[in-house]
Amino acid sequence: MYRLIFSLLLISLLFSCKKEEPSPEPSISESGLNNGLLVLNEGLFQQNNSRLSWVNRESGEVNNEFFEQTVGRPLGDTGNDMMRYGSKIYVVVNVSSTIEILDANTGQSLKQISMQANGQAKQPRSLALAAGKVYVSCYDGFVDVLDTNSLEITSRIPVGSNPDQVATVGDYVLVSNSGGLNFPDLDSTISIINTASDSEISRLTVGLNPGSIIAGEEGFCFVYTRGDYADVEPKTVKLDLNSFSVVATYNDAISGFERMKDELLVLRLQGESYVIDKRSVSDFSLLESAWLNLENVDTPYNLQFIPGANKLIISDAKNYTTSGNVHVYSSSGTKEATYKVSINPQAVIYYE
Amino acid sequence: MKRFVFLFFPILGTLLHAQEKELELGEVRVRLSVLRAESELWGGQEIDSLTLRMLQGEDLSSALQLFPGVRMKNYGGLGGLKTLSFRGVGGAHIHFLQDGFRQNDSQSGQVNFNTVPLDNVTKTSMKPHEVESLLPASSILASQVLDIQTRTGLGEPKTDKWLSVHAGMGSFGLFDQFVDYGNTVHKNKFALSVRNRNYQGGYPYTYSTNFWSTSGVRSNNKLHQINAQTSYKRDLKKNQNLRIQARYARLNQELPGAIILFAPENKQFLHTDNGQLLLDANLQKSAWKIRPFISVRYQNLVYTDSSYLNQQNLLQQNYIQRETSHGITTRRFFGRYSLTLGAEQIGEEVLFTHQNMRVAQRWQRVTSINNQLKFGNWQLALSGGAQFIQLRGKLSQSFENEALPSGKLLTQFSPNKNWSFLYGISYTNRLQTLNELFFGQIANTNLRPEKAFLNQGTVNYHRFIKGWTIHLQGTAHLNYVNDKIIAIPNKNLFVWSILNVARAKSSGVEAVAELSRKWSKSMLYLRHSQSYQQTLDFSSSSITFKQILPYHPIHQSNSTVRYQYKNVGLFLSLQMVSTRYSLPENIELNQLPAFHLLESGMFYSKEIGGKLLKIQVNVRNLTNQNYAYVRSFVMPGINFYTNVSIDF
Repeated sequence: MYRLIFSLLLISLLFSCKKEEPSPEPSISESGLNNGLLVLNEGLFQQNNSRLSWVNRESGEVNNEFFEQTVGRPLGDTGNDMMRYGSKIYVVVNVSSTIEILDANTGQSLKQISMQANGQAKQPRSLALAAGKVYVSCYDGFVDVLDTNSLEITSRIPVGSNPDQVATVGDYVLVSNSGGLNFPDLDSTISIINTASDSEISRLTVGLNPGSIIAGEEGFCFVYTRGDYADVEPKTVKLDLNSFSVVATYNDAISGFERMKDELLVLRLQGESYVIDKRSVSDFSLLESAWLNLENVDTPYNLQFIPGANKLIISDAKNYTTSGNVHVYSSSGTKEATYKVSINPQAVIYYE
Repeated sequence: MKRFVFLFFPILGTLLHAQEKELELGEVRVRLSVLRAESELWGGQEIDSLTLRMLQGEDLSSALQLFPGVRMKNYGGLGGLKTLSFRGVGGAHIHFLQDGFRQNDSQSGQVNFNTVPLDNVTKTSMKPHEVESLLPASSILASQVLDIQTRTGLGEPKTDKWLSVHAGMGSFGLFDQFVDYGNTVHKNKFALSVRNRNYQGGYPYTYSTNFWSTSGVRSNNKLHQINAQTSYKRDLKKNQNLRIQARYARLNQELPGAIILFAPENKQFLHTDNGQLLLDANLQKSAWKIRPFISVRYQNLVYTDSSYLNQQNLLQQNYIQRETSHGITTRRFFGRYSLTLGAEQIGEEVLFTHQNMRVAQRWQRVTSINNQLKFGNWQLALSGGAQFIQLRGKLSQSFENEALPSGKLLTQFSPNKNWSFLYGISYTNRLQTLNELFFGQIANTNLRPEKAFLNQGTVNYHRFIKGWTIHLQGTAHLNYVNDKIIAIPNKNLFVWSILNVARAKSSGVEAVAELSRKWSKSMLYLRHSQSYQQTLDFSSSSITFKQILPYHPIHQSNSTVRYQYKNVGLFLSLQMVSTRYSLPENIELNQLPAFHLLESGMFYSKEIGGKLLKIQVNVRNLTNQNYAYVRSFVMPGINFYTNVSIDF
């Protein structure tokens, strides 16, 4: 009987858990962060696992706990956008409702802004830079203006419901009012903000559930509307910012876009894999079909062109719950590197 | 044997010694072995009232942790959501019965074990097959039945008349009161119990990872809970009775959001009213046993988020759930063979009062047959049946029909009085919940039921040696779940859908060792359970193929020591949970650290003027460990609970 007892218990005790290698230390040289990529990983909603990854382009090492190691606390829940302006990096963390301001040279925290209004979370969503100010769309129906010197929110601009993407086009900041939290009563408008007065000067109806906004030729921009994911199909509209009107509508099934120099890169599904077409910034006409074939990208999550470095960054969210990839392409479409980062990689800052 | 005992219970040597005196334990029934005769349990497990009493658990989940195959996902402290999986199979596959009536929620499929009080539970068991009572047809077909019996439901009443009042208090603003009354007049039995619990929450925590640590006070888990239950039972003739029960539960609680560490301003509330009216009869005559039953259930659930950023700045969702179930189960004995036939009709309806009243309805007609045969040292139980489903969604005018077969075969061999061997195989379905089918943006009307293919082999050894009762149980399982229903983002991160995309495989072994001994005035009970379980994503196309599913720790163990001398009892338990992953990808960043929980309790009873006074003090998390079972849901550190009760 003793044998039986020990057999049963030893079977369960003999298995041990796999120990994995810890993340490498942040590779910050004396001259600061360089020759790398800083990647914002959104993480998963309500999992508190948004992370900054530091990618050392020389060694290929990836540190997915860069923020925790450098700042000594977690980034929070659902970091949605990140941008660099001068010596500072701005990160919006949507569910935690914070803006993290980091030293772009070291990654050290300069300030954390708690985005609260009347005891309620503002839920910041995306960032745009204009006239030396950072514009932050917030789900509570405002665009906040952040002074980049004082690092204070200086004003709140009321816009439509649940503003989502924000972009600078000429002298204006455009905001897509998604109304996503009023589902199924989604919003259909974009707000146009004059950056001199920091006020909404027009609100245009563009289509259900507007999302990404990108500059076209001078005085024009394109807005991607997502529909209701069921009956109303997505579409792209072209806006004239002189007359504040929709001048063209394109019903082509696309998944997103980015501007690269004087062309638009348009992501779409072809068969079971994604491709990138080149289209005209003036009339959205097709310039080159399937310019880039993304067979090795499961779920393109962000397209980002880095003008200074002439690089195209494509992040792959895989199945949204596992570590994603960041692919670096040259502007001619040659893949140069792939780095495995954390969950749902989003915005990237490129360090020479 | 002694070596074995102290190998696994090293703490005992210094704490316990046997006493040869008379037991005086008041009305608390002494049961030396938790695991009863194997032939009755069919490879299942059971926890008796004394263990439950000494445990003084916050709720039923505390007791279920003792079953080694159970993995209880605990979202934090008293009031936190607690759901279980058993041997890698989700909780919705397990039929939860309270006093013979099914309690699974048709809207969510789950049972929140936080809402089930333990105060007057006399027995808890988890079994693949039931031989004592006549279950509803749907439960006969279930792979496992979790059954609790309460004194108010007149499960094993020990006296004809009782009145017990108790008041308790605990750390972090916990106060509770409980009244339990029962009386018998001629052939009429009546019982009533009412429980009230208030909890302020607000416990301090420290949460740490490799690179950071944060401390604070968790403050969004207030709770007020009322449970009332009454039963009337009329003995008709010998072995024949009629029973009527009514239950009411009210729960008002702050919902501890998933991001408590980073967005404590979240203000989410849940209000639930749940009422049930239950009627059944147990009729036994010569070789026949018959149980007709009817149950009616009404639940009103209101979820409020007062910080939601829509146009009203308020998200309020109101679900009304109505359920009826009626049926009959009958058993006929033919010597060593018995035939059990069951028929049941279940009606479920959910009303969703968001903008417009929207309705989902489902009718289930379930038939089951069970054959049980005993020949020599062998026993065989063969069950089969079908569910005929009629389903109508909120937008459709007509019902869709579907038939689902289920089957179960268990065989048990007992070569002598000490040993028994069981092998069981079953194929069961878990219906889609009405939430998964119809409600919210992520619902999917094309979902198919989950299908589970389960194998279980169990060895039992039971023996009395020199006054010791020894019971050992070893179980191995190999389970597959196909068409597993999971929520995944399928368009972008904000557009999730519930889909049948996954396949899971669970394999593992469990061992339970129990030793007990009763002397004239004292009693000692030792129990250790250990389980090894690998529950893997087995979807061949998945990125995480063959990786461990979230919140399925590989190792889990429970050790319990109970010692009573005269009217004083001591209790010590140690629970250990190994590392687990918060997401399907098995990388270090998703790993949560292992933890152990040490708990002790002391019980004292004294008879004063014909009344029995009982005092109990329990100290939980004795080592004041900072831990979280689910990522970010910090758990309380060291805390106490004490109660005083008087039995009149």
